[in-house]
Amino acid sequence: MSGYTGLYDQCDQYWNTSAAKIYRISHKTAEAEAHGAEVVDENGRRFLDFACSYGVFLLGHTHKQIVAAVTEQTLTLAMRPAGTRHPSAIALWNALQPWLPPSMSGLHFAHTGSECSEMTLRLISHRSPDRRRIVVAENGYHGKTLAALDIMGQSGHSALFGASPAEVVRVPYGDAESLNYAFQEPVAALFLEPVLGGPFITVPPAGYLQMARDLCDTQDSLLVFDEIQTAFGRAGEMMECTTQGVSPDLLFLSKGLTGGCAAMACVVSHERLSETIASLPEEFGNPRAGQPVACEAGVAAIRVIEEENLIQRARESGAYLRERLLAVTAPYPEIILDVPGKGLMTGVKCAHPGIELMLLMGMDKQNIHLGYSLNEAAAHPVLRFYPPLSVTREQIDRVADALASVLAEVAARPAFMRRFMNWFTKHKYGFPDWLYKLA
Amino acid sequence: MNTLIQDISITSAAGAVVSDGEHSWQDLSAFGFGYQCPDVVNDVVAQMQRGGLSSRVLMSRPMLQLVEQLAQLTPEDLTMTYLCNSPDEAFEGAIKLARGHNPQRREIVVVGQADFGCMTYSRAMSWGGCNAADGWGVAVDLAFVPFAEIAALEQTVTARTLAVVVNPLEQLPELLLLGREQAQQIRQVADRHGALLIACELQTFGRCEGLFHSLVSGLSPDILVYGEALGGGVLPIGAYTARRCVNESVYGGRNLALHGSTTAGNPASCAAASAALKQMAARTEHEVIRRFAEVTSIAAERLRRVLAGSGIRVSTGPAALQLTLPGPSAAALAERLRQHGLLVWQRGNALRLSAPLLMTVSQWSDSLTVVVDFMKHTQANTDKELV
Ligand SMILES: Cc1ncc(COP(=O)(O)O)c(C=O)c1O
Repeated sequence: MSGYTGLYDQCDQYWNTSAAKIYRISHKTAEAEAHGAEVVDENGRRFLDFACSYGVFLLGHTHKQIVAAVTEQTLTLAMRPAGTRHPSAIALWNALQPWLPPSMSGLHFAHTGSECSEMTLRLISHRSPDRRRIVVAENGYHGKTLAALDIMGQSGHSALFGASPAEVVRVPYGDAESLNYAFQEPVAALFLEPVLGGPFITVPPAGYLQMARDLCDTQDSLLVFDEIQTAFGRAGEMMECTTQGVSPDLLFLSKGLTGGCAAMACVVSHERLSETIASLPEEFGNPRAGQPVACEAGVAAIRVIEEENLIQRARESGAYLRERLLAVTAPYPEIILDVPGKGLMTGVKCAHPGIELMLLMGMDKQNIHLGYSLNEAAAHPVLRFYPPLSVTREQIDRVADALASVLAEVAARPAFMRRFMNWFTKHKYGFPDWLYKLA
Repeated sequence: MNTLIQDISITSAAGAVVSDGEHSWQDLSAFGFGYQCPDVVNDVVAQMQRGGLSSRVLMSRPMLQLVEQLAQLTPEDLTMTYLCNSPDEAFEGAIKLARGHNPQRREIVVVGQADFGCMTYSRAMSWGGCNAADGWGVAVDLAFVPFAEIAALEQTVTARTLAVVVNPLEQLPELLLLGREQAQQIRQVADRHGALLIACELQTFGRCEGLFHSLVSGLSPDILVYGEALGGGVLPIGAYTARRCVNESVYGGRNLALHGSTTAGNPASCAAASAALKQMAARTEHEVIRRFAEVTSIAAERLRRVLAGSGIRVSTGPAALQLTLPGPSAAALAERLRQHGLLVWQRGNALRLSAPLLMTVSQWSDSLTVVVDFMKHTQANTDKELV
């Protein structure tokens, strides 16, 4: 019996029964510490982290410079009273500003990406109470709180929690014609990720973001770029919007923002929205968010990205990683359909969720963590390979070699076994408890 | 927006005192924990060296230990805890759970004029719904029942009501703590109509015996929301704890990604919460609560005498005192108290002081004396027009 039965039980009784089932069946252990690209469990087993919490650990775990900054700030002043200010917020703005598109002028704090969506939707509805059309990308993702769910690209996800006050139109990502069509009626706002993320990684065709900007301009609609996953080098640029020369009205940042050392998100606003923001009945951002510790983490993270030349390195490593993944997966076109992505925002597009799970488990045995989609409804989920930006060629080689051997194993399994895994994946939360305990 | 303090840039803090390098103030503006508690700071710093955020592939022992501890501290029957990145998101998560539990129902009844946080539903429910109609509003109907009308709750709750939300500390127009009888009445009405009962203890948490007002009042909620002080004044964190059957009706047997955010319940914030709970255990003992209440009520009595005939009403809550002015704004008065070294909360004609949990009874008593003396002075002098 696993030494972790107690933790599985704790998880089942006091937190989340589905998580308990998954932990139990996959014999998960507990994390002890994490440094650089490695996560170490309580038994001293070391995992190479190519999941990075879906992009949070862009600079690896516990980067020395950032930990030093958050430690010092925690010892000095971790939190300020809600509503007051702290110099670190100005320092963060000064560090961010050179990387932003021109005329972005406001920094508004939140605790999570979902909160960015919530506050932005309130702003949009306040600005145009009579225009309720919001255009989002199919399979886009902007968080899971109630208002954020309304603009989730997968309508099934939000159906469970009831109606939306907005009229949400979902368009296939990257498709110019559909986007044009959605603007046949007056649009209040368009939400886009500059590279579609999650298990659906898609790079849009050239000119797509500019076209979005032009459409919004013709109707005075707001353009919102959610760069929570793409920014700070994940997709090979500090900010996709800046590189492409397209200014959004509102820009979401989180994940890489604090170098994986604090929880924080923010919305950056264009100067043309200053008056609207000032006219809101309550503050736009959360007066309790943007605390000194998180802001200092952000300042240190941006400095590390600049000093270690991580954007350039991400581009190079990204190209090498994709090249290796393409080579390794090429012999298995019936299992791996594609290696989509840009920079270090990449992964392997699996024929079905069962394949994704088999690869995940195989790689786990080789002490490699990958970004699992947790989305059994996706027809062809992308199993994400999201290493830290500082990933080395050796680490990429180790992962690609491991993937080659796991793919060979999966391909050697009889077809019915792969079909069974797919069935299992789709039903994995629904079996009786005793079955998980037995496993 | 607290426009009174947004021009202050805080550079250091300890206990209840914050400073901008030149001036310092007792921070009585929120229902917080206080600042830079060494035990909380040390535990958080230690966790930051190991990893402040989780990799989210392996289990997190700090998180699982915390949720077990919270199941023991919250009222019996409430066992499943979801940790969030802020008190605001905790309340929001509770509303989401209630919506998922009663998806056909379309109305929420809010009892008590109070602050429910910064998320969309929370803002719409705050302060008697004064912002509820801004923009598109929310996708449920909201009905508001002040404490004074709880006896008539039966007329408002119907088969359409998905949840009755109660903040046990009404904050406007005056501070008023929910009584036992009222609590039982609310529970009965919710039960009769099959609505969930959500207690939002963002402000009362850590200020009542045994941590929660729900334990004292016998409210017996289906979901209990708390936070603010839970982060020990070091990191933001909030939580809700629900009955297992309620939680399972929505999340049981379903994809574990159906709810939650990227960094919710991260190990550093769990370390802060565990350390804060240790500190709070002493603070929520009967004797301490009694002494805070005594000091508060003595000051309130003195103020009532001083302010007799002025039209200013004095009310009290757990380690909190509020002045409600007859005039339109208490901002000028709050500004003057700031000059006297006190940061207070103000909204419209109400002004409130609340002791952070790290404050001692004598510090609280001293702060209240400053207010009493100041009000005495304003009543005796030409400053009268201030109020
Ligand atoms: C693009 C994008 N937007 C929004 C979010 C939501 O952020 P959070 O989990 O902090 O609420 C995420 C998180 O994965 C994301 O990737």
